[in-house]
Amino acid sequence: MTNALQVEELSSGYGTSEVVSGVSFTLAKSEVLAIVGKNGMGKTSLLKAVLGFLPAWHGTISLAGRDVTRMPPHLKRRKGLVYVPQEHALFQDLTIRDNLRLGLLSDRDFAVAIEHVGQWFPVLTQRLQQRAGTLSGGEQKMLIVARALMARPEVLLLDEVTEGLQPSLVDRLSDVLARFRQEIGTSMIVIEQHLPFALGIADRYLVFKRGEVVDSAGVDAEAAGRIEAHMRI
Amino acid sequence: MPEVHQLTPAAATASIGVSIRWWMAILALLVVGAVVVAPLLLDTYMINILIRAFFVAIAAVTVDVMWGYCGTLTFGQSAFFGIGVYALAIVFTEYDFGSWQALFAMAAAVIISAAVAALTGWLSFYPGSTPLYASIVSLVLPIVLVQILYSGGTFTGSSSGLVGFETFDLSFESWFRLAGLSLAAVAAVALILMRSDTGRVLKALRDNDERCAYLGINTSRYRIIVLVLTAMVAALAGFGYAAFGGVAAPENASFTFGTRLIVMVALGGRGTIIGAVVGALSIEVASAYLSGSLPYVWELIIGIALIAVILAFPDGLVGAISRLTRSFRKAHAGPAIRLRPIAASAAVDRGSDVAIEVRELGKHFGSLSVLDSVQFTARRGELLSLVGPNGAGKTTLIRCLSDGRERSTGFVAIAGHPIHRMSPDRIVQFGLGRKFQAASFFETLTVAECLKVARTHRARPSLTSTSTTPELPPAAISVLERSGLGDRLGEEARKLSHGLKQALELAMVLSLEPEVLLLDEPTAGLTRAERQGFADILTALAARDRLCILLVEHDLDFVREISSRIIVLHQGRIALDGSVDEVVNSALVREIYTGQQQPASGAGS
Repeated sequence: MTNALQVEELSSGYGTSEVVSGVSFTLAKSEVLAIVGKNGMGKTSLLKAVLGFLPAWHGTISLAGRDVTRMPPHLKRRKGLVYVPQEHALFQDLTIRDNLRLGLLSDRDFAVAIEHVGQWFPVLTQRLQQRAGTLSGGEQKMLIVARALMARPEVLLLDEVTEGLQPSLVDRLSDVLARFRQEIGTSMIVIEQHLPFALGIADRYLVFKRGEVVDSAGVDAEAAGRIEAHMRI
Repeated sequence: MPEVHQLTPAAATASIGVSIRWWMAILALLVVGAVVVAPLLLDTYMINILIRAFFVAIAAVTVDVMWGYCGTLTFGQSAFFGIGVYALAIVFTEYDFGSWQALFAMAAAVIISAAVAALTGWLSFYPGSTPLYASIVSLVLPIVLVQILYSGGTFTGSSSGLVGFETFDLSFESWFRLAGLSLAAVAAVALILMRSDTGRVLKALRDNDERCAYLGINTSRYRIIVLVLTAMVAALAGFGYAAFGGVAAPENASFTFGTRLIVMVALGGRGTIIGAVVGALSIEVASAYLSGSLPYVWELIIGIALIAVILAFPDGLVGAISRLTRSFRKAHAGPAIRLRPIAASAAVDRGSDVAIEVRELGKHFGSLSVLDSVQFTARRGELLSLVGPNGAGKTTLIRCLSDGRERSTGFVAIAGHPIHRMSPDRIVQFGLGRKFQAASFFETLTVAECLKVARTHRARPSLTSTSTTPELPPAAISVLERSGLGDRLGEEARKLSHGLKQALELAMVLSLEPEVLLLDEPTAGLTRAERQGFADILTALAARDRLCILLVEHDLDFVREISSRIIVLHQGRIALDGSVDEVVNSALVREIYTGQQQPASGAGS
């Protein structure tokens, strides 16, 4: 079976400084991979390189067996690669409803999709006409996540998704993500400092250090301890 | 703690500093020499064109200061230039030429332009205004002025302007030297100012107005002062232009001329001063020659050339050259950056140790009430956590404590001072420090420069010199050391990682030596080790330095570990206010917040 996402020997960076150095990993269908490591080690840059926001200097990226190394980000989105950035990437002056609509490629499925959003985050669907800029920090985060999930992604990249969410919502998000992977087979990459959340949903983890993968293993009872040991050095 | 951190060899940088100063002196001498000698070599036509171009270039320099350094795209400098032109023309026409009249005209030019600039600045730079708004006001100004000139009858000469008045009788050579040296002097002063510590504050304003306000900098006042000064310089340039030409025309004050000044700056390279001079001189000279030889198509040619240059060199001619030279100079180490610790200023004993007092605070948007009858006090040395579901009003409460214009009803006092309707920069003077949820700093400045700007309200920035030695209180230095930022002082702040940006902002806020510290989710996105570092710093600040810290936080383990007290905010009201154990284990918190049925697990989970 082909992998949902396969990255081989990928190198990338800003200007002349390399921040991702020869990274390889695979992501099977409906698999969840956690990428952990200290801040400033290039985790977000790796996602940006996979998405095409940073140029691939070297190496290949394939989605569902197809080489997409040179494909621009908006076309990868059409192939089902969806990104939830760490910053509040919203259209502040548009309503919640319009922000959500932009998550879909066509309006046809909007009515159904919005019902799902109502199940995940009722606080959003109760206030569809409110401007996104007036939401609190945590509510904006919910909106970004909802917008990404509505697209029913094949591969979902989540960058620090629990940041600013209250504990009960973090738990609900874990449930929603688990259901996605069961029902439609979404594969996910989770960058996270909140280890209990990441290890709760991931099958495997990669430890990232200075642009390279320094450890990779399945998630088991000792995983948290091993990761903490890496982070201390 | 070492007395001075030294990150690059001092000897090498000292020699670089000296050699730069020598080069500048040699360059200045060359420019002066060229201006003195040039009129002997050039033909009269060229001299004539260059004299006008020099005066125009002075106006272009003022545009570069406003746009390139302060970030306000201004179309209005032509209006101030026009005020200078017409002050001279009107006085000489009405009262004839004479030394008293000349002095009076010059004074009128300076005073009227300063007054108009002050009024425009007051309209453009009220707290919370946007750069776009200021640009539009600057666009209206020349249009209004030209209308006044048109309707002034014989007094202003209406659309044909004023001609035929007697003016200074100087030789072309003297005019050339006067105008050339004035331009050199204005450019040199602008360069020194913009590279000084004060110039750095202006760049900080351009990057992030809100952060500046919360560092206690009166952003409106800075911008208005710069506008008034540039207006006076532009008026004097106009005065010289009219004195040489003996003509005043409405075009000298027009919006078209204002736009041309912008084009000159863009062509030469904005934010360089030299670029403004190069752009102005080349466009003026090219226009003069082309309009003679190709009377119909010259504007088209200049337009196309401009587009070509700007497409090829987005940062202008001077920007392109400096990029080229920078690639040769790469081998040089940057200037030595040191941190100098200063003694913590002794806490002022104000008798009472109530740090935050809030009574009956309310915040409403129309009929929607975001905060309602919020009431609490916090003392020095207390580490108070504010928790609650997303959307409960936590950030709004922080905003109401730090900006007097935010709340709808109620009373707030910081360190014993009622905040009334004050703007953040004044509340900061009472000892308030606020760290934002998303790290807020100055993108284009280096780490050391950000810290330097953070000290602006304690140490008045120098107008002439630039220092790379931020003098910081111990609390800020300890954040820099723990986070590792201390080794990266020379790096541009925007290139830092998420965690280091958060640490930088905290260090900047602590540089204010606050008594009350407001922190909005400071640990979001930080690793466990970074979080632990934060916890240690905060507990030390509360225990040792007796700061009152109010913290918004979702990580209950973190809250439990460091807080002395917790307030739970729910739907805009205080639902609980009590000790850590009371709150964390309460049924209410489990129900509305954590969603767990059992008490939250221990700190080790």
